[in-house]
Amino acid sequence: MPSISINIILAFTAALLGMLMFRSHMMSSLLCLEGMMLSMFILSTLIILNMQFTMSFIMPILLLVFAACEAAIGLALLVTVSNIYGLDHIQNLNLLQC
Amino acid sequence: MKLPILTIVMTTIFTGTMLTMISSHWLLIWIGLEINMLSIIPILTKNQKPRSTEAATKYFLTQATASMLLMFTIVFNAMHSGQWTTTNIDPNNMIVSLTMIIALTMKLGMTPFHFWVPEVTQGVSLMTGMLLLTWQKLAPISIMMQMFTSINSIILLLIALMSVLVGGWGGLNQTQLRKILAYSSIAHMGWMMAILTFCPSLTMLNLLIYLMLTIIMFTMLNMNTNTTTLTLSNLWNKSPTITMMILISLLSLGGLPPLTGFLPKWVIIQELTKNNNIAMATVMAIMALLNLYFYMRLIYSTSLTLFPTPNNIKMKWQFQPKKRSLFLSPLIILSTLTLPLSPVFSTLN
Amino acid sequence: MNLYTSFMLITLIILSLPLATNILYVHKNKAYASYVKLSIAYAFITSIIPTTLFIFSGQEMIISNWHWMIMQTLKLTLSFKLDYFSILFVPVALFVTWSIMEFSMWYMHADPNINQFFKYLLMFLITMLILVTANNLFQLFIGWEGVGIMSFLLIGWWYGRTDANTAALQAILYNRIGDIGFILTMAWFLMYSNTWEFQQLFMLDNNLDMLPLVGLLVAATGKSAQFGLHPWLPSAMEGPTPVSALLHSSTMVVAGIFLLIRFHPLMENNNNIQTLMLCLGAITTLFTAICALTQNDIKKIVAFSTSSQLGLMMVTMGINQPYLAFLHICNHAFFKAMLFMCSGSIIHSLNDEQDIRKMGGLFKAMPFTSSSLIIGSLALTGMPFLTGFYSKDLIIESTSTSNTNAWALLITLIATSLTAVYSTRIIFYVLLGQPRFISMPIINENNPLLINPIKRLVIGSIFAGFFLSFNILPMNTPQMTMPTYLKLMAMAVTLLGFVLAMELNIMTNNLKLKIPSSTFKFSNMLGFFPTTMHRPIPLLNLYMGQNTASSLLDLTWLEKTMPKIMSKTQMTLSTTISNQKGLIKLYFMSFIASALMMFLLIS
Repeated sequence: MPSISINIILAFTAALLGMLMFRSHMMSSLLCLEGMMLSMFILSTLIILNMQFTMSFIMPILLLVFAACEAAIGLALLVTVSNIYGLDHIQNLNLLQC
Repeated sequence: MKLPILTIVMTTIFTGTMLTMISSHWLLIWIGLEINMLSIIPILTKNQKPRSTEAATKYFLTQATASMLLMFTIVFNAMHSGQWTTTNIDPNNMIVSLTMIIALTMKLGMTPFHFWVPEVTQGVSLMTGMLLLTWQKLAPISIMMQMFTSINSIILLLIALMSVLVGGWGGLNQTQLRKILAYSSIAHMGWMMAILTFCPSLTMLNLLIYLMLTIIMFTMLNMNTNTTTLTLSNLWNKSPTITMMILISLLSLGGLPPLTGFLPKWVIIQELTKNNNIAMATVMAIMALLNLYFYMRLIYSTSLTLFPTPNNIKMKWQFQPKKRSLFLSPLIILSTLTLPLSPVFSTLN
Repeated sequence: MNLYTSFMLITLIILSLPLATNILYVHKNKAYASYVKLSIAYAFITSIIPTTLFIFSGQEMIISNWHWMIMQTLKLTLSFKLDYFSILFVPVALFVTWSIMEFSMWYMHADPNINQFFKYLLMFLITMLILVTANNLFQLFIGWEGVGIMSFLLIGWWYGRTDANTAALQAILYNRIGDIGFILTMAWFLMYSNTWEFQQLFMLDNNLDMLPLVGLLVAATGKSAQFGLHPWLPSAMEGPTPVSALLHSSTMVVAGIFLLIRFHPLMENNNNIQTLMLCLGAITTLFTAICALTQNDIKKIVAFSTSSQLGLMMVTMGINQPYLAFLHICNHAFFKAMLFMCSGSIIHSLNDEQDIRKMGGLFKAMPFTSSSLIIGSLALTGMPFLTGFYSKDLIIESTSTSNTNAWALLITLIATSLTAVYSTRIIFYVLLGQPRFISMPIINENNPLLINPIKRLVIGSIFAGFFLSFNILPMNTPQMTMPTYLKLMAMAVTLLGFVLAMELNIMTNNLKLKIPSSTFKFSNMLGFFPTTMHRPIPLLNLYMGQNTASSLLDLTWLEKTMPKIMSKTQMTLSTTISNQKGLIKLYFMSFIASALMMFLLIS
């Protein structure tokens, strides 16, 4: 595996861990999602360039499109949450505990 | 939510799942999942309440993470094998097969990743909950059925077993009907996944019957908007027939023999036993008793006791219900009385 | 010779006719009581014929006329054994029962269910005859249990009274203890001899284990109220007086002794069981005689005297003289039935007063009853040339001349003496002296239904012993020679008892009562036997049952181990699993943990 791939996979892992581990703000979770998405974008572009998948050149663009959609939805939810609670702390989301 | 918007959103949801089910290219599958996930968020936040917002947020975070993991798996697999088709997952590649299972089970809400299921179901309305527990399961299960040969069966069986256990024990402590149904969904997912590597057609059968039962349960609960045991136990004032049908469907959901719900459990246990997996079958059958127990408790509190509240709605039963629901009676009949059709399913394998 | 079977069967058929006519609703008829009495009288007359034939020809036979069933190698038939014992016992029992029936027509005339009462009495008699004529253990068992059930029903006849119910229950429970022994014996014979027919049993083996014999002894102890299982007999006095008369004379209580007589061929070579019987009989006869001394209920005294006589019969079995014991059974039936009928007459005339302290001076008011009572008491004590003498004197003689242990002999002699004492006590308190009863009741004994049966039994009490012992075949060698003092010993102790009792009664009659002595308490409280046996043992059993069955087994093992632990586990697990705090950060942390664990598991 070339070192650039390892580098990017590590970036993805870091973003994933950031998503899963302790986050107090919802904004940072969304940022982590974006980070994962972007690392995937770079990794797929690399693969496609390296392996000459000419038919798949559209794929990173599609990925970016969906990243944008996801970011939009996430930000909309963020707005709603901060509208309700005044904050975007994730720990406020505890209305539905069993 | 206005009707045109609702139509567009619903169409998008269905399109996303369809896309996942018909495509064999990993990117399209992922795109279908993503479309589905993104478009259900407006449905979840249909009524602007803190609870539904919270449910939508939790659902979004979990599903987005799962999607990202799936994307990672796809790209990693492509990097190693240079293939984009679903059947070409390398079972010997540990990272690929494991992250695939994790991503899909996270999307399905199975045991180590199940925490969002009862909470999200509790936060949304009944019909949305029905959508969440039925339609949203289709896409991940279809992926799993396409690539079941390359799944690590030990991990999958472990996850299935834990799902059955959690589905049994979690529902024991609930009074909220939506949470009970969510835990029942977890248990049923466990049953489906347990048989997946042995006989995928049985997974399909179980999924069909589970879908039918869950749809009619939610539809009937929705007719009078019952969400707790309390309202369920007062239901006999309003519509005794629906009460009766709810109780019978609950028993069918729990898998009591003369009803349809027994059929998948029966054949799954038989198939597991055939494959020398007796211990697993025994534990699952025992845990099905827990499910039956809390359904029986619902039935007991509904039909054999009077709730200690003043009862001033006795005359409601003579009014026609306002909410109409299509296909209720055929679905009830199908979901309770089709056990005699079981010999047909012997042709499945 | 064919008259044997036909007349015996006619007897049985005649007896069962009043029961068979149930379908014709004859038992609703007012004359049903006299039907029953008449059928018993006819049965007696027809049964005389085979008995006479037997006396003259000495031929025994078996009627085996209905094949019942086959269980593997065991064949059960309905067969009647007409031997020495049954063919002599049947007319005696019928004669006595005939008198008792007639007596109860007088005694029970006001009872609304008198027909049912007669039916019960008749069934009692029939089951006893089944027992006596049975030729296999199964048939004998039917009679045995039938006697037990009918005694339960009859003792509890006045079921409105708690005492009657208690007495009936006591009777049936003590008999169940005896039945354990009987069933044990039956099972033993079934296992080791593979037959229940008497002939085959006696032919097969004469040196048995102790086990079946002890079972028989236990059965006889229960049925014949020997020491240990005796308390039901005095309690059974709660039943109507005819029931007591029937129970104590010719049915029920002699069944136990009769069983031992039937199985005598198995026991005659076994010294251990004979010693057991001897000691048991001796203890019984003394103990019950002591108990009879201080009782104040006239029926209880007579009842204890029965018990004492049964002990004497058991002693006779113990010295290996079954024919003597059987003779005593027959003789005893006459005067004991009559004693009960006399006391019934007295009780009825005094408005159901049973306490002898409230009687007295009755010899003027009821001369016939008084003379009968005196004759019966004298016959009971063994006065020469009355009925009791012919068997009792022989028993004492053969006991004293046999090489048995002197302890049993001594005890038996004391009991014989005590017999005279309590007989004197009855006569003294009831008949002699001044009246102590309320002068209101009209005393009248002129009813022929009362006079005739007592008259017949008086004749029986005087002549039956003579008649029996001079006509039946001598089955055992009588003791021909013995020292004069031995010959006179029975007479002497009886006379001593009479004189002593008379002296003591006259002397103490007007004395002021002091605090009762402990000896008196011992005797009056029946040796404290019922108190000690009926309280602590059931209490102990109940406690043990509660501790082991309820507390240990149910509450601890069965409840704590399975259901409680199960529900506790489920509840703990359920609360643990569904105890979510709604914090998605924690869920994501647990996702990492489980994903890592999966990686570890795979690699």
